[in-house]
Amino acid sequence: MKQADDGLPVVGTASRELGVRVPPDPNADVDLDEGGGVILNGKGMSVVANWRNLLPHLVPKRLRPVFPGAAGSNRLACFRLGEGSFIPGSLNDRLSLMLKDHDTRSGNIVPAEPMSQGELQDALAATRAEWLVDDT
Amino acid sequence: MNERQFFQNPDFVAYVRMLHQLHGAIREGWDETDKGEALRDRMDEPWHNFSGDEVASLSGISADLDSLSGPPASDIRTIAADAKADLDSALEARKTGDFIGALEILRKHAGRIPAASLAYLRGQIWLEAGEYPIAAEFLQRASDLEPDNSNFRYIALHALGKSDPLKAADQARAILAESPRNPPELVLKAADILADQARILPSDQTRRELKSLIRPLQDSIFRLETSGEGQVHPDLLIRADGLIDACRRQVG
Repeated sequence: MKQADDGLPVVGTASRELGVRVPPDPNADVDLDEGGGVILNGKGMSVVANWRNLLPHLVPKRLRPVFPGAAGSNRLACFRLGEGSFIPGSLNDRLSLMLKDHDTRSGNIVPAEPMSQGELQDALAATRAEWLVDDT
Repeated sequence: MNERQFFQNPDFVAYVRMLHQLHGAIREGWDETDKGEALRDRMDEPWHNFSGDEVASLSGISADLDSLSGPPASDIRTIAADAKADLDSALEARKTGDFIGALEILRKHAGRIPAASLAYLRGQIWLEAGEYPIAAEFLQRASDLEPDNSNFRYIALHALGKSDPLKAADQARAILAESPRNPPELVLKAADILADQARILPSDQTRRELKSLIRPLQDSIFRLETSGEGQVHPDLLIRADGLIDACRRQVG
């Protein structure tokens, strides 16, 4: 994700920010119902088990010595949330982790309960201080 | 996830092409600009459709693309004996269309293959995969690392002709301008490229261009015959003769 001056992730609704892209963005991370509520269908903010499972354009170039092929902007950083295993389950009372069907190394942070898109963005933003840079 | 993977997956192919562009941007120093970020934004699009194996493969390809710049990773002069059998497997994989497998084998042995040969082999795989701009860069890299290798120069020009005909024509003209100093098979390839290009020119220019090819082609035939190379590669002589005939017919 993009790194802010304070070292934490940038909160926002653009690519590589702490948040989700919503319709009508063609690359929306979530689907919305008619009332603007987030549909609970497993979609959410994409995450991976380890930053080495990211596509090369998402890994900052400065990590080339440890990750040959890294081609991401140096304004990005690899962040880790928590210490637990990368398994489906609750992250807090408002967010959960769901794994993708085709790959257990990648998943989505999804709403744990029905909420509006604004509430989801707030819930994600509230985790900001918990994300730690992990370049190891 | 897409049912088709790797080169059968259009998203994978699209990502590979953008990754190649991004590496060019990094080398040219514009990847941190708005244009570079816009390119990276486009690369986000297919992410959800990739399998873990595809992501791993793309990281490997990205590392391969890193090798296109900077000093060669090793100063090995010959291919290590224990890598040769695996390299045969890579060639076999390439022939059967398993381009990912072939690239992986090369990656596994990258530290035991001379940098120019490695770039050449990678270029051949990309050529076979039909990804000509990527092939052309790897083959040019091979040629740059071993400028005296006429085979590398030949295949690099061939790939450039497929990916960027105008740039290839410029190179071909430079080769023909110094044709006696260049290997006859390279002169022949250069003439071939310019003859192709000449077809889209106005007719008077076409004639002029084709006429200018006849002399270097004749010289090349002479050199092929006198060096004995024409006997080893009679196809070169046949092609040179054919090209001269075609030029003469057009010139009138």
